[in-house]
Amino acid sequence: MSTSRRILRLRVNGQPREVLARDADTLLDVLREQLGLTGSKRGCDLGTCGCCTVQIDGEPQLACLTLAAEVGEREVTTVEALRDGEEFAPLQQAWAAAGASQCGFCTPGFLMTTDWLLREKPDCNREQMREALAGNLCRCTGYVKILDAVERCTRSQGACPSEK
Amino acid sequence: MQVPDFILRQPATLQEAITAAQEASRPPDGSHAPSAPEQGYDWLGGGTDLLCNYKWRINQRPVVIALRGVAELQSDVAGSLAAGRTLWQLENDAEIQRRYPALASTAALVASPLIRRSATLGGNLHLDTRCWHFNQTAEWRAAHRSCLKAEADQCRVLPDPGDVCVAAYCGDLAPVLIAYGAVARLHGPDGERRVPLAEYFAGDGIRRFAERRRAELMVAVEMPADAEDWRVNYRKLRLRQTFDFPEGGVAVGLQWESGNPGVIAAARIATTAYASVPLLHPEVVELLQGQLLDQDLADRAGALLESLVQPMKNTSMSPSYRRKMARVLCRRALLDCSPHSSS
Amino acid sequence: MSDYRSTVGQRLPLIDSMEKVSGQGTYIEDMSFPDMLYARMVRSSESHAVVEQVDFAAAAEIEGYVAGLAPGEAGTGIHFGVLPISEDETPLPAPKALHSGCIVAAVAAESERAAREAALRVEVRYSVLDPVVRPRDALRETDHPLHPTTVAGTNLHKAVDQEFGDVDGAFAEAATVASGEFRFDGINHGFTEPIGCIAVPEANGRMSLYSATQVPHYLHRALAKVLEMPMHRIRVFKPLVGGGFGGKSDPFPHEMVAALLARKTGRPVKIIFDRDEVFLNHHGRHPTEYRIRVAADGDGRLLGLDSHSRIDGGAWGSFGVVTTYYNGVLSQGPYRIPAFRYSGRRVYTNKPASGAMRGHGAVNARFALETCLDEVAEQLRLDPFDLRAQNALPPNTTTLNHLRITSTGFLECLQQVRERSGWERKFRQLPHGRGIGLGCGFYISGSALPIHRTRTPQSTVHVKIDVDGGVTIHSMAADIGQGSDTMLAQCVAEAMGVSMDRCRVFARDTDTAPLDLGSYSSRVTFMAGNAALRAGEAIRRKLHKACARLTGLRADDFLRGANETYVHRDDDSVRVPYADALREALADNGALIAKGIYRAPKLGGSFKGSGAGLSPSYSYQAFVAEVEVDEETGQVRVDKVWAAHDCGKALNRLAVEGQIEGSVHMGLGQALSEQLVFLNNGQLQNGSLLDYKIPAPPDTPEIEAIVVESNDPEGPLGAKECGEGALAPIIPAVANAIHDAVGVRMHEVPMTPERVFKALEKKRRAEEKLRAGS
Ligand SMILES: Cc1cc2nc3c(=O)[nH]c(=O)nc-3n(C[C@H](O)[C@H](O)[C@H](O)COP(=O)(O)OP(=O)(O)OC[C@H]3O[C@@H](n4cnc5c(N)ncnc54)[C@H](O)[C@@H]3O)c2cc1C
Ligand code: FES
Ligand code: FES
Repeated sequence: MSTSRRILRLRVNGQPREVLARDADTLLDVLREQLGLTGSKRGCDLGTCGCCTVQIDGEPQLACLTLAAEVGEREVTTVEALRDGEEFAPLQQAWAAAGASQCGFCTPGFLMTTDWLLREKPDCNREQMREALAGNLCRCTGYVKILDAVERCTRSQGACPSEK
Repeated sequence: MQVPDFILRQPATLQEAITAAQEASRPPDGSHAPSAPEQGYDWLGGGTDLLCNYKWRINQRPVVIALRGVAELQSDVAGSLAAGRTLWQLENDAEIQRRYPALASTAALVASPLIRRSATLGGNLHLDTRCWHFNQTAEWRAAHRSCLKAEADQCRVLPDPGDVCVAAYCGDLAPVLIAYGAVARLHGPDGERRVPLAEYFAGDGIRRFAERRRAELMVAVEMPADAEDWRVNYRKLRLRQTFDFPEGGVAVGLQWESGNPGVIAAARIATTAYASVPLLHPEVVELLQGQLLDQDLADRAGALLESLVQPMKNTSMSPSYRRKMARVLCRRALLDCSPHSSS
Repeated sequence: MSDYRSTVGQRLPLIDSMEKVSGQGTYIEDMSFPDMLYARMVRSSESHAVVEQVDFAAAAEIEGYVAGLAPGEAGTGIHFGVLPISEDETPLPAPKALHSGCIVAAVAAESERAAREAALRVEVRYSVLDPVVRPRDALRETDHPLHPTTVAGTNLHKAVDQEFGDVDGAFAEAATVASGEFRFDGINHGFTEPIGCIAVPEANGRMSLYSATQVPHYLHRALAKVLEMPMHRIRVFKPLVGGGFGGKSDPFPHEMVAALLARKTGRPVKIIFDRDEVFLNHHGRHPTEYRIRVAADGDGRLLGLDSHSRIDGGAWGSFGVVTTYYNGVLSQGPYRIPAFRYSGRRVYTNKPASGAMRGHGAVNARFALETCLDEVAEQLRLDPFDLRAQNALPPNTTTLNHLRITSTGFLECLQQVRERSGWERKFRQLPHGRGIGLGCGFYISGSALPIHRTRTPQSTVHVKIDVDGGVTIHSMAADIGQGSDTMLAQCVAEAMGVSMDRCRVFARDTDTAPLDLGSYSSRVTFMAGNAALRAGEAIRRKLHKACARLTGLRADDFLRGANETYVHRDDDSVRVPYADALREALADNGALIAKGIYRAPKLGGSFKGSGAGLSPSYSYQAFVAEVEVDEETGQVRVDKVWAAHDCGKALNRLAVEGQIEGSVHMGLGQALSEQLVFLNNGQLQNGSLLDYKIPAPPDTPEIEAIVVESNDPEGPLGAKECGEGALAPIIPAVANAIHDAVGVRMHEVPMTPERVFKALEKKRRAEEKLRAGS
């Protein structure tokens, strides 16, 4: 069968991006292989690790199970955009300070889910964090320091990422 | 891993979707020979089931018709839930939480929160059946040479399967919707038909539906007017608190005698993951009807259900354990319904 | 007096953490090279078969196909392996495929997609042999052993028999004996980053291999052997690695295949495994059958230990010889055991190879021992804490098998968790269905014997400082996420008395780094850390000489002072800033360089196998778990874990806690949900992250990491390991808590709901029988 391709006009991290992609390419394929945005990781490619999590219109989504051609006009945000120039987001700073990255491979995915969570529930407690992060796996940290990092960014503890 | 090639169609209306399906299922030679209903295309909801299967080269088709853009699937009309709604929306919708609490809470038990962001109601109900010998990579299956539902002509679960596939239906929502008495609204080239979900599924792990018509899709799930009068509860057997498909799932729906809460006027019991389709259990319903719901009745209903389900050895927990757990799931789901229970 | 402020014991973020949170960190899958090809492995459909023929004709028709690599081609049959005593792997079958899914050939193509399509079309003809799947069958004689090197025509790979003291006498005089037969399923490392590598044939004829590896040096050696090139013609480069846990600590066939394909095509070749291939590559924790007896006198003093293990090695040797020893040897602590017998058998089977995994060799044996100790305590009506405390190995002793015990914080570990967990008001007092349990541990802090017999130090670290004032550190210690780069920076900065941000660590490249054996056996902090300290001190001595020149005082009288200064020991108004000292030191001299080395002291006895388990120091643990058991379903919920670990000295508290917490999480996975499942023919059933069940956030309890510091006399600044020992104790802690909750002893791990349910059913039946009988 011949390969069906099309030109996609995406909005990624605030920029219009045009790519030629197969109909069957996932958003993760396009981000990593065509746009050079390798921050989003491919841990399983089957929805079972969350390493590929990006935001689409501000909501966390698995890039490995999203067809690029289905993204349409929606705004895609990847981990690369959390940082504002020189300035790291409070969440990123908290992540480092709390020791929430060890090998760091799960980190981009966790950050993208957490960034949404803190916007949505700036007062979340650890139980709610566990629930909200139930689609992200980490093999290094036992999640303790990940929850510590999120906690540092809750409204009572510090700056919310939305107020960055 | 890469999804193998297909042509993606992105219709904007129901009619366009149906037309796309008709085109895709026409044999390549242009003749009008009857073809299998799904030959040539698959519908695509959130893709959280389909794309995983495609990546492992399971039953891919040349055309995929995405339903995301189909307006009719995106918004509810009175009394029904659009098939394109995501499970995330279902679990977080205040109206659904109020009217169909078991639906909202069950949606929250499916897969993981990230998957539920894209997973749709329609996709969940049509979730392909699962089996340890089927949900494997192409290379694994080739080495195993083993699956009726994939490329082979034998089965590793049943010694002598004939052409019957025992892959398990593992959707969480179907039993709950059945317990509410929901009705599927389907659209095809010949217009709309309505089928109670309780009668929608039938057959084995390959055929799966009582009647499958070419180019037909599910537009919505209609909730009956009396759905709110039913107490519905669902219990799910799984190892982890997230990700895992049900290894067994029991939904019960009860209606009390009027003026007599606790006495069962009508009951519905549906299970998932125990067979290739969601099962109804009239024997258990019969046992419950007219009785006062108490510990003893719940025990007996559980025991009866345990004797009725016949899981196969094709998921991660053993059939005997899954069967025994049917009793516990059923008893707990029933007791959760009791008038004094908080849920 | 010096006013120097040390960083030791602070909470220091990893030096590469901003790279990681920004998404800029480069892992192997993120790298590419001009004109790069993608390779895809062709995997065996047979569990045990001679590969007769590989046909690329159909594959070659795929657009973009470039080359295939088949058994028989140059290099594909050369043996390699991490241990020189069992070099039994080959890049491609020579001539046998040894497990379903092992690599039998490979194709390289212009795109990943083309490589995949092509690989699916490669036709392989096999002549099939009967597979050996069950370990007990592997002990029988056979016409077709997996390897020609096996023992006496069977599939036995390694036998270990050790006996010290009067074991039979101990059991004869014992007041009580606890025993059990235990079964452990295989466990996979489950790191989130799939395995991968890129081989680059350099224009000057050299070969570079970029790989997600924890052992660049062993990989370097293996490549030299397989490529038949001198080591200096080969370069190994390690990018950021997304977790290893032992699963990236062998040289692997795919790394050889990448290099061979790169040589064949003259182009860079990239291989990234899919998740299922990571499971097939495996080299994880051995499936194990373990038999054990423990004897004690009436007061609870341990008299003897008698154990036997049969471990399922799968297709290759890997670290298996070491595993076979460790399963016995490492039960010699943290208790004093006067009589000890152990026999271990490792067999080859037609399954993915087992190898080293976090807590290597100690985890399953530890479970058996700690469960039996709980039983001894129960039989003697002793508190499990008291039983353990009274048998604790004292500091500065030697075990029966000549392990040298120096620092130990074991008693403090016990005391800490006992208090913090509220043990006194919980044990045997929680309502039925809830329970609390104790598990302890003991682990090596670096294997004292290097794998290859050599007098080269196990770790060497180079430090360079130049006019920019930055501190450049070269090492081949492999940071795989555990934070060894940060540890190196801290040790050098500490030794020099400068700030850590001056340090930049280059621990990636065998071309520039001095030798280090890599990240395994929990050796890096102890060995590379000592080397780094020494390098830092050596360069500081040069700076002190400069201080002497500047002040006319004696070099030896300078100490590290506050704010990167060197201060006179008797007069803190005499103070030379680092920058001034450096300028003076560079004058007429140029960049300063220094090195530090570490070589373990000579240790141990002279009996056969005396080298196994030797370590310059040992870590100790006491963990408590509190659980809830659903008696109707067998489901176990761990509510809270208290984990006290003696790491000698916490150089960096954040990192030490992180290692403890991560180990506990991984141990909980093995305890409750993770297991590899095989079909009768040895084919792996559940090679996916859906079916191999790693605990997710909602499955993981709060873990209270408690750092205990015994200040090791030989450790760098007193430190010893914390990355591996902290895994084992949690599993028996959970089992003992289950017993406290519902009165069943679990002998199979993982303790899945189904297994707990079965144990409960068995107990109910036994109780009914008893009632009927009375
Ligand atoms: C890791 C993981 C864990 C999971 N765990 C669970 C679980 O616990 N419980 C569970 O129920 N599911 C689980 N799933 C499966 C799946 O995510 C959900 O069932 C989801 O609801 C499927 O919806 P979808 O829209 O993504 O389906 P799709 O993948 O888009 O479609 C699934 C099937 O339905 C068909 N289809 C879709 N929409 C329609 C329609 N409107 N009319 C007719 N046919 C249609 C498609 O053609 C396809 O055959 C899991 C999946 C993964 C990857
Ligand atoms: S890569 Fe998308 S969930 Fe694992
Ligand atoms: S930090 Fe390694 S997987 Fe999370």
